[in-house]
Amino acid sequence: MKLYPSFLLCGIFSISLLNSGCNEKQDAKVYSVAKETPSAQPADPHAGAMPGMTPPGHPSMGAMTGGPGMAGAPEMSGKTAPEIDTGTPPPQWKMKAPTPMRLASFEIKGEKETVADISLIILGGAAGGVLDNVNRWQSQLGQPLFTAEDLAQKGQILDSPLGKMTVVDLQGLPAGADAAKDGRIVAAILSNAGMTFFFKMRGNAELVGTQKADFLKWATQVRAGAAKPEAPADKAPAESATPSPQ
Amino acid sequence: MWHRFLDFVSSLKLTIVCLAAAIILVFAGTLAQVHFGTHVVQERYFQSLFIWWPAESHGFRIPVFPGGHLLGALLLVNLVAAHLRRFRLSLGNLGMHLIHGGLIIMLAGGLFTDLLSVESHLQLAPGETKNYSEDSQRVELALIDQRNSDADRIVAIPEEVLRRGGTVNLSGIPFRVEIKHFYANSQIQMIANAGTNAARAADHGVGAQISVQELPQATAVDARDLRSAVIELVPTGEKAASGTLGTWLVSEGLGAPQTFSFAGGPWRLEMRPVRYYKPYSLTLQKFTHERYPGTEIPKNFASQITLNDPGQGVHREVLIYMNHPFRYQGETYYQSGFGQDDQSSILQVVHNPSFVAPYIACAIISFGMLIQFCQHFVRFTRRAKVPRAK
Repeated sequence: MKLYPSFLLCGIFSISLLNSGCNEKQDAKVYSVAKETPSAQPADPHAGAMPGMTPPGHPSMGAMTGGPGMAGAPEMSGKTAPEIDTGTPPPQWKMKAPTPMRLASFEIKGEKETVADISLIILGGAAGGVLDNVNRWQSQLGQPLFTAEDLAQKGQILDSPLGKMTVVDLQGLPAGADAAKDGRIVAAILSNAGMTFFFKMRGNAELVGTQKADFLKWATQVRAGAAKPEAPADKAPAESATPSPQ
Repeated sequence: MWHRFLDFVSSLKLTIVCLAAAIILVFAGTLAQVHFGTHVVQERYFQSLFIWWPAESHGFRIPVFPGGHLLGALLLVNLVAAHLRRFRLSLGNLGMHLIHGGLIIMLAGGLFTDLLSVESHLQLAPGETKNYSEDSQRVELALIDQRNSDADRIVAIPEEVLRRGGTVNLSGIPFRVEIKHFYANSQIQMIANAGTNAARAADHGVGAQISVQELPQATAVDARDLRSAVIELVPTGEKAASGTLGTWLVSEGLGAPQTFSFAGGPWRLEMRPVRYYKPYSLTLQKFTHERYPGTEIPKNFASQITLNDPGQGVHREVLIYMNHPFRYQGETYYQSGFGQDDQSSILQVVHNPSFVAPYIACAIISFGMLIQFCQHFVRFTRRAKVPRAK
């Protein structure tokens, strides 16, 4: 009986030694898979499980992929972004707290609690191409995908200090979405110095329509330079108070 | 000596000690969730042979308490040994044999489920086809060689290797990966938004525009870590003279892959959920989400899926909906949730080779209890018929 504590200590020490020698050594795996073809409709980057919404009897559901980033966003490649001067936004745009991946972010509030969200995101490389990104937005609005011909017909080309940008105006209310907050996307894409710039305004269809001219004016102001985005002035500068078409 | 060992493993004392230890383990594990979160506690306390101190170290560690797997295995051995020693094989003991047999199958099934089962998710938008599911709890660094026009060659470096750090040499790949830093949880920000003192995370790729800040690991049930790493790609072999390919930031927060050219072709680089590829593909044709009228409470989710398995010559439609999972090639697909646009479907994919064990165990135990009850009932009625002596 007196030997038991010694046996116990020896046992614990042996297990520790074995563990330090046999720690699980997972290694890299190498395998081949058929090349992925681009999805007809990429998954919603903000998709996620709905805690508490799973019916009884179903297995538990962990958090889904996505996170705060841009899952489902197009590819990037490695070049350093130039410093960007995001210009002077219109006064009715309220600058939002910076988010990790947005170079600029604004909110517009309209009548009857309508809202629209504006963002500027810069990614490296071709970032998936114009058509794939336009189709990503189409799917966000629950609309059928564009072909290259559709895009050529419906896209608009504008000049900006950073180069020619493709502008699209997409409409559609996704199932279950709040019409006060969603229903239209006006977006512009341009490539410059190996980077792709995404200007996007999404929100209530009517509000987005009224802000479209200001949005395009702002997007075409953005240029290479050291200035950081400025908060909208209390009083509108003359050049940013362009009347907005309906 | 052998008899003493048999006495020990079949003793009731061992049963009591194991059950008491299990109670302590559950109590300690429940408290530990406050600090470490559910997933970590599950791994450290219940899906392990021992609870180690220090928990994070990969070197010398001391076992401080038996883990869930060890206690389960001991209880299993104890039950088998006690049964073999105490019960003779006879028809009179059939009920007891069956009950113990069922319990043994249930314990063994639980252990095998823990050891062998794999859970993952498959998210599909209408019209989308995938031949893989993803584990949202674990990430891998994927280096994808796209130089071949027919197939991509993928090097998947698991999270455990990234956590260890150091150098990862890859056979057949013209560079090695040096893990500079792994962030178990992080916040990434564009340099322009991160303040004047922010440093860029890497010198190549999108990381040159981003700063990374280390954060404590998330412990809340509805929170998750954002895992990131800074790595350096260093050419090896014939390409060694060409110099480093630079440091790169890889992060779950980027989502999108980064690309670079090396050794005559394009490569892709991304931190992504661990993928389980399958020899067949699933296409979502239609997803429906019904609600009870006038409420947001879900009544039913249903996914109409096309299964395509060229190897087996299978091409058919399946409907997956609440409480009606789809089973194929050892995997079970449950309708689990939906994307927030209410259009994409999320399926939980469970690979569990021992999923039938609980059903078999419950049937055997029920049958054993029925026999045991009948035996006692017959004995009771026989005794009741015997006239009492006056």
